[in-house]
Amino acid sequence: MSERPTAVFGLLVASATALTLAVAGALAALGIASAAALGATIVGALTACIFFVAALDRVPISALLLVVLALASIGAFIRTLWTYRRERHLLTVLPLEVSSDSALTQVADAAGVTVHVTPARHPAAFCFGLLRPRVVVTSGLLERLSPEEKAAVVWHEAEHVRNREPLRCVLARLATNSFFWIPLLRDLLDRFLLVKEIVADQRAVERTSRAALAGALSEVASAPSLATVGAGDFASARIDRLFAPEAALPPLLRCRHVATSAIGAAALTLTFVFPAQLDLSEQTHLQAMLTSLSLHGLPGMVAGLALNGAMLSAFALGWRQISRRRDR
Amino acid sequence: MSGAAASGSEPLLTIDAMPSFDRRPNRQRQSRDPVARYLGDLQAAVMQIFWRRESATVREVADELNKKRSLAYTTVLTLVSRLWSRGLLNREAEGRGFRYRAEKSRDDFLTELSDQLIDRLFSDFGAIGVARVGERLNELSEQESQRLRQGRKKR
Repeated sequence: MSERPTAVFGLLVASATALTLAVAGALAALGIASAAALGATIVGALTACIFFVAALDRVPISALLLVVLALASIGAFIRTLWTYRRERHLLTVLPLEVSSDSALTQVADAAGVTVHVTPARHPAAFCFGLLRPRVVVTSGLLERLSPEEKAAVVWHEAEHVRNREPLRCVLARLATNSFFWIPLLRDLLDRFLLVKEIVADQRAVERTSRAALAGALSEVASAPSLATVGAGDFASARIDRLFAPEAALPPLLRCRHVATSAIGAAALTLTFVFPAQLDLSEQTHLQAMLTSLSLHGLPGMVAGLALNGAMLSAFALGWRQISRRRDR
Repeated sequence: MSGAAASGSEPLLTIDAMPSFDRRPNRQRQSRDPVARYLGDLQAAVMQIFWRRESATVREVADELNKKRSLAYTTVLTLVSRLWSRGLLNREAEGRGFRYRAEKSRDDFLTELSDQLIDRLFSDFGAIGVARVGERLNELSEQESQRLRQGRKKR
């Protein structure tokens, strides 16, 4: 089951939906007003963190945790969408021409896709577009491939197009990035990315030959890599599968991720085990705490702002580091 | 990022010099001409002139452009100097002004542009909505690459 892209993708989306429902349910149990007040308090805490930390003992920790998780998830979701938007804009600038190579066009027609060529030297082939994916091959790759190898690339990409893989990738990454505090989803994402490639490889081999696909892959892999991340077991699993269809895949779950996910899940469970009800007096207390900022006079303001600035910049720096690693 | 510094072997055109590529108006992004999608209509029209003829002064460009539209001399001056500062044109002094020349042909320009876009697509963004053949294949060890090359020879 864990070798069918659709199944893995389905599991990933189902888990993300379940998590969304759990968080939403817990928030609803907390009460919309209380959740909003807490959320505002946490955002406000950035401007009044001194007083906030001092007053932490007045806030139920489970409710605090829940709202922090929810805010972080929403932030990560929006951030992923934003990155996708930038990527789309970059792709609209990319010079594309419908391929004029008649042999290539014939294969493309048989595979039911249109092949676009971009004049880059870098050997690459990919497809993008959510509803009607487009296949792009660089002229640098085409120059290096024999006609049969070109056909292998087209069949490989045609399989991605047939499954609307770009759309699935976006959804899968949205799910994974939003619930970054359950890194098990990341394992599922990696598995999905791997099996979808393996299935597309299989299809290309069926339509052309193993030698043709191997040739195409070796040219693509020869591209100078800008960033090498990961241990490489992803790539080797793919190559193993190409030559030996029974080869085992790398383990689905990573211990490190299981441990972190357990903490994340425990945090979420905590909010169900100890449902927190903020009563009105707590809320007014929170508001009073925020407005009291001005009452503490100039020293309090200056200290609060300085700490706030330091916190924000540390957060921004750390976030950039994390996201650079995670996006790959 | 000045044009004078761009005369070496460094890539002349860098997308970093144009960070706003994702903030183009919709009309520009829908243009059929890839040069216009990147540079905008007017600058693309100016580049077209330089690709058609060897070299030109700002005055000559303005005259040629104004066969179809009416632009002030200063507007054309701005367009040309922007293209120069982006490293797409080079210039030499002539009289009291400059004579400009295209730094590279249209094909070379498009090749470099798409190379940079593709590099950036796969490095900066991690390609969220892109399914590619080479998915993580750059992580292959030397031994495995060897295996692929051997598989290719066996026909």
